[in-house]
Amino acid sequence: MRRVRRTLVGAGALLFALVVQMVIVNRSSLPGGGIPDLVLITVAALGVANGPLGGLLAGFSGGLAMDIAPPGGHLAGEYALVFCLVGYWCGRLREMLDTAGEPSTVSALTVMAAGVIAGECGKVAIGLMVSDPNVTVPVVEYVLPGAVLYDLLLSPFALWLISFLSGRSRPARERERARVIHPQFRPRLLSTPQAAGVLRLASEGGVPRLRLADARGRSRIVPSRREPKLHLRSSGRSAFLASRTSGGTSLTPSTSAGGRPARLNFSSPGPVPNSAPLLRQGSSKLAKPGKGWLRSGGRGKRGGWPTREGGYRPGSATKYRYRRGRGIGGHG
Amino acid sequence: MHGARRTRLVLVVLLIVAIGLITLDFRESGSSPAHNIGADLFGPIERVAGSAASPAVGFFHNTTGDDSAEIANLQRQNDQLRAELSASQLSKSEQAQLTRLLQLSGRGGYRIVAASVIAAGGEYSDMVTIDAGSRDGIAVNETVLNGDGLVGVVSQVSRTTATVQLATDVSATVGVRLAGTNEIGALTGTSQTMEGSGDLQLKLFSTTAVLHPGEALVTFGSVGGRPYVPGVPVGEVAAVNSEPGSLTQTAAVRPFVDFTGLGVVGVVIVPPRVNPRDSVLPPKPPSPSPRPSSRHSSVRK
Repeated sequence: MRRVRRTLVGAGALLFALVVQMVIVNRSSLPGGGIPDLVLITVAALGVANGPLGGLLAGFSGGLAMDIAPPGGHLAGEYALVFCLVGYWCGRLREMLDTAGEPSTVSALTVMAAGVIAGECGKVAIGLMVSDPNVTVPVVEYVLPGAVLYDLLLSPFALWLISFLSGRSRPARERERARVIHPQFRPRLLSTPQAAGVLRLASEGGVPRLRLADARGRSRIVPSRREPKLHLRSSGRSAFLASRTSGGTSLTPSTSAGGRPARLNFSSPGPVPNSAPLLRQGSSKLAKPGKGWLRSGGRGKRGGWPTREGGYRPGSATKYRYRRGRGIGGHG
Repeated sequence: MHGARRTRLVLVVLLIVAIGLITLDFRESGSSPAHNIGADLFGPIERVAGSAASPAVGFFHNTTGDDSAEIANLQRQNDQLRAELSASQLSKSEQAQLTRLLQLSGRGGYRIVAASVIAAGGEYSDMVTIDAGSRDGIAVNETVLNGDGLVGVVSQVSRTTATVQLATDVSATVGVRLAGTNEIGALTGTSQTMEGSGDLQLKLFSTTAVLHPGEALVTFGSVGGRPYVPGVPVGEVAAVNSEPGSLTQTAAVRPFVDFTGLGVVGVVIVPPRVNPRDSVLPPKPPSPSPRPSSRHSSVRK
């Protein structure tokens, strides 16, 4: 539903920008020599708002429309090539900046500014490359500064408009939905093999150790994840449970537990496989709990990522969070 | 990484498609079928939007640099022709432009199809779209003019719209003749966006001719009247360049037509039977300098 809406908004914005550009903007002579390129601004805004794929599709279609719409004046495909790259890199850069922190308006506007400047320069570059007779050095010197200035002035409005029309103003609901659906936050009870192991230990005289999991300082950033979780700790007699819980980096030696009373262990479980007993909400080292949690909220705000990614599929949780946490931001 | 990889794949595919399109268009020197598809696709949209937006655009240009005497003059012409013009939807400025266009084409004996400019190209192209196409009898390589003089030539035609290459385009070359002395030369465009006005570059063919500022130019005419019919006023010499070492003289020519404020234009569909020579030149060119008028009177005697 959101994808359909964003696609419609993108296509409508591109068509509107194209027609206004051809019919009004190109025919008016503004002070300073240059004129703004509304299609380029729209492409950059769509790239920032919708990510690399949305940006490059918008750039290609918008650029191609500009190439072949009647007055034209340049070869078909020139602006499609330039705008395609602009849209893609706007989306990529926005993602890269986002992985470093909370998505902010400042980063979005910075990316957009870089995008429109690169787009205007790219138009000149492609014109020179195909030796367009109208793109000469004096013309470029006369036109380019004004065009870039007008583009930069119009960028914030375009970004706000695109974000508003795409329905970006619902971050709280999105984040809430992401929290509810995400399998890592779905409460799980003891699974059958774990329960069987505990029962077997108990029947053989071993006492399962209890400890508080996920009490590391790092995870205190996010209050909602600080509730201590009880972990069943194997006594070491059962290789099965020991391999699943201690993970080899626990601070307490797993062999010294036989027959001792249950105790609380405040150490972190370390890089434990995701299927460890009981709920550990993303406490593994790979998941980077605090940042990952913030980020998953941010993605939700921008909308549609988890569903597009398929990361909500049960069982793929570790992979999903691992990708989030890598900080590359490579994402469709 | 699956999503990112797919995105990169799409990017690469689209870049290859774009480069392929550029290559195809480059081979056909900018007239590949893609442009025809675009004209069929976006032409009707631009027609509707252009006719809706023309009052706004006209307002823009009318507010810049108007003369009270000129306003009164145009007003009189409007009143004179309002009865016989059935175009009740035209604005006042469009009526004035149409009036002057009809006067010019009547003097030269051109048969024209009147049309309005509905869209224009960007900073790096000197092209406009007009709202008349092949169904109005317009074909490629026909001269386009307005009430002031030469505008350009039709470069592409779809059913309902046509694209006009302006005389200011760098790749446009017009054969011209100096009124009075009959020296001939070639006029090429610099870009329209240059210095707002876009002076044209004149290069005379004769090595002995001497140019003087203020001399008027008309089109020399092509065989069969295409792409340029004879006798259309083009502009006047603004400054003569004396380049040491060059065989012939060159000059900057200021066009009669204001290319930034094009409204109503006419496409010459039937060239005149006889060459109108200098008769189409305005009796008093609308330029502020008084020199051309005295020169014209001397030419006529």
